[in-house]
Amino acid sequence: MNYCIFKTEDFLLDPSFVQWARNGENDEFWQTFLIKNPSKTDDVERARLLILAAKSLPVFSLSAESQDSLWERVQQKIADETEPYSNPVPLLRRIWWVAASILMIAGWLGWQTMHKEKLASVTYEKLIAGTEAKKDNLVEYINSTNKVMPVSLPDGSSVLLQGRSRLGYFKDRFGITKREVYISGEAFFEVARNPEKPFLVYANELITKVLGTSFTVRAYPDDKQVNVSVKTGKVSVFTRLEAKKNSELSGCELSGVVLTPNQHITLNRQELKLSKILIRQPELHAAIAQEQLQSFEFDDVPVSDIFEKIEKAYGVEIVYDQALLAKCRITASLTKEPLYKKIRLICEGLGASYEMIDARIVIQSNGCK
Amino acid sequence: MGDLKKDLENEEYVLWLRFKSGDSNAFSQIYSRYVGILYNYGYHILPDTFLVQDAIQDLFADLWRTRQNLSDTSSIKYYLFRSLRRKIHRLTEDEQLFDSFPEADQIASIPCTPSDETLQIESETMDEQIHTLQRALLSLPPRQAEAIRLRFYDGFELHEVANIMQMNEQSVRNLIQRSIRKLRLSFNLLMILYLIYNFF
Repeated sequence: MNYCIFKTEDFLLDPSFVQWARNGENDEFWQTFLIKNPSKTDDVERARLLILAAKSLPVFSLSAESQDSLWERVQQKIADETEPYSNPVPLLRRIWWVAASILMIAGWLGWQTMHKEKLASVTYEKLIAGTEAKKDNLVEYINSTNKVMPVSLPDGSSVLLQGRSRLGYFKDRFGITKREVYISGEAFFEVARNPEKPFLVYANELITKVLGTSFTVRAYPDDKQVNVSVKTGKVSVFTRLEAKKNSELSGCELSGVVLTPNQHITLNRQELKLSKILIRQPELHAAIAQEQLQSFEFDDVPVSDIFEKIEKAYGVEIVYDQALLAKCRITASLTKEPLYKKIRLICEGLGASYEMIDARIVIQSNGCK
Repeated sequence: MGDLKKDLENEEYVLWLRFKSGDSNAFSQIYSRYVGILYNYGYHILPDTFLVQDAIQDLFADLWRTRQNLSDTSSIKYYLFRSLRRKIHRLTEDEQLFDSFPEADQIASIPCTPSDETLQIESETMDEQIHTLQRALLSLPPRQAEAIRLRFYDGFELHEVANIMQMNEQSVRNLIQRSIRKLRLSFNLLMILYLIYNFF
């Protein structure tokens, strides 16, 4: 191999060189080569630095618990698969099934309205008490302040919990087949997309089902109404009566009343009547209206501007060392990302980390060079 | 070194044979040995922890189900990486999650802005330089970043990288060469500093 005519990229593509750079193999040969060919120092060092940088790239790891539960899921799947194989239903027949079930649901709904069965007003406490889950697995966020509290869920979804509001989920059940959360008060959701595990928000009498989108639910215990408004994507909304048919909740097909962006639905809690309207901008929660108007496309923008924009849009507080980050600039496209993902991606770009302290997002960084 | 590698391959080979014959201990050993690096790789192609975990679940369940039909291999890691990548792509194909990713190499890479302040770093240590480079690496177009990661981080040979990424070896070489050109600007500045730091 004539290494004397090699450039950086040639070294990178040479197996023997890579072995030296990664594992120190053949050290003597390469040291001698460098002494004999000082003009190659640049190319060699460049290639070596790049390999070292790639070799020590940051790692995304799965916690020991997640590894264990994933292993259990593998075992479960294997057990399921060893059961007698059932033929998948052919497409045409499946369409009939869907048609049949729509008819059934429609019929059932008609029957329900005729009987005017009413649920005594359902609240957060009743919802929690009514689940079969073990209560000690309940994870709760209670925001008794008047400021927004950002909450991160285990699936990567973000919630902005408004004042006097409360959010709960069961950590042993969340994300197994569905992602179910319970709220009282008002919250803005940005749901991480996962069609196999529908995200369900239980708010008083209303259930909102999504596959990945962002929207607001408002359901204070003493309000006469429950409101859902959609920012992006699609959600479907049911009353608890309709939702008794559990299969609807776990399916991936959205049914119920479907809301698209800028639509808003109100449930009258006395009559359990749903009415759909288009959102008029001023009616939206101030923070979310702001957010809706903004794009998060940044082209070589100082990171302090980006933080400011996020603070305004989401109504959260971000704490960071302004002097240290004064020179950091970022190019990124974050419009579609949930709040926490925005923060995470920015931190990745900065080589920084973040944590939540007292409802504030605190950025730890060594600054930019 | 060579012997060590041989031993390792031998050990893997034996582990694989035990697994293929239905030894569930060997299976769980393979899982715990590779789940971490598989997740890391998967998460870099598709930053969605649920989907990646689903793909890994499928991968291992399939592995067990089809174990008798699998060919012999002395690189379990290579086999698993290749399968995981396919799974992730299949999982995401119908959902078009990849829509949000810029078509590989079509976009200009994000400049890593080594502006004036870069010159202040005479005292910068090598660690910090590597850090700067890593940031540049993370901003490469996805396929370039993936090729670099598989070759230099995971230590696959070029032909293995090609096979995992389902392209020919020459295309992988091109990807790596192109990424160097993209990184050149930040490189050049780093090099000057590196030399100053080392020789003065």
